[in-house]
Amino acid sequence: MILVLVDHDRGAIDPLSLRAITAARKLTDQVEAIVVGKDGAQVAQEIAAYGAGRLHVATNEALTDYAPMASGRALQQIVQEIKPVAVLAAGSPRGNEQLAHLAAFLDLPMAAECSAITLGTNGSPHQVTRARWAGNLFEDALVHADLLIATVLAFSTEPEMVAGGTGALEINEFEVNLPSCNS
Amino acid sequence: MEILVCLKRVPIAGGTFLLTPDNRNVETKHLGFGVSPHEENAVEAGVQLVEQMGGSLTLLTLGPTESEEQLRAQLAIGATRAILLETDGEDWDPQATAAALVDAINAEEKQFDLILFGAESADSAGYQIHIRVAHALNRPIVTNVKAMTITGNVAQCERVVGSDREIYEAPLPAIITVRDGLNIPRYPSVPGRIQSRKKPVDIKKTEPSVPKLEKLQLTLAPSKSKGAEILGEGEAAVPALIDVLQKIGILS
Repeated sequence: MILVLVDHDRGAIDPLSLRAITAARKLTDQVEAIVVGKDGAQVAQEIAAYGAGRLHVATNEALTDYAPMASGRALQQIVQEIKPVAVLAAGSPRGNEQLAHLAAFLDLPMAAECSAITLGTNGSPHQVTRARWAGNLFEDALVHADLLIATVLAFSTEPEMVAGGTGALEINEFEVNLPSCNS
Repeated sequence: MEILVCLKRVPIAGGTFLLTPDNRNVETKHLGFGVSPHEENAVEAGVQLVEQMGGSLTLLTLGPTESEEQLRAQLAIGATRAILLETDGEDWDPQATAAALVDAINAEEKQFDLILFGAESADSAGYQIHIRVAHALNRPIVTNVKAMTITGNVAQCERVVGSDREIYEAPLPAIITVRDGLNIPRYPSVPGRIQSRKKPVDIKKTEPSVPKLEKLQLTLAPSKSKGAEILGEGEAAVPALIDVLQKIGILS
């Protein structure tokens, strides 16, 4: 199962997140999404149309706006609970920043701006192709970690809705623990 | 105020890239080197703060021996001293780089009130070293800052998101990444260049680490330019030419 961080601004979805969900669906049928903040639940119908089967809504009364370190905490908490094989987000400034916090919390590598991803099997490393030098070069790289943390290069995947209409979306709201969160 | 700016030596590639024969690096035989554009803004911000508030500005980089050239250039702007974590020239992955920077920062006798990074390096597009350093040092971090004022023990930071501006306050000590637009980096003066040769640069050897994000090879992105299209020769080219002229609106 792959977990996709869906970014939103007070409930308005970042369209790049739909591309990240599509990129995840190309790797597995089991895609779940997470939004941070209560307003994020407003994107449920939209992300269901793009194939996420479950939406985790991370809440805390202090989470009223964009807070990247808190997002990292929320991701860490849900990752430890649902144990995905990969966490993806859009390769946007916010997507990169929030996943970098997750990677720092877990002390795991992170591959930013990936245009292609091959998940590792049986303990072999994940393989990614990622943009460097503002997209002038691409790097093939191995990610040596059980959990792949990666952002999807903007516009490298066209967003695709699920054929045959919207599936049922399960919503899991959970409280984020925010001990001494600094930003 | 004690300030640290982290830098990275990068080739000045311009628009055309060549790769080394093993496709693992950018061919730099014919290239100059500098630091990333945002990092020049970080140094300028540090110099201005020391001018206003006193204290010192330290530069820190991890890179090959030749990185001293970039450190000296920024010392000429007004930084006080520099630390070079010397590598064998190979790229380090972000985790290893951040760990080396943290070790160097912790080895300093003084605590830095403010640690500045450029928002991103020109070459690697990792978007994470500054965040890993902030976590390791347990400091607040604000990223992509385009305006900054220090009042007392608080840094007020402004960043642009779309058409909006976000305002953050971070208690010092803090880590801030800055973008171009924060200020206009000054050119080094002649006295500044002369003084920079005598300023201290501590060179510390590093041991290469095993990368968890392991580079295999680089490839050039497909050219975005389609180049010139040959429509044909002589009279045979006329229909294609008419099509083009109609498409661009010259013929109806």
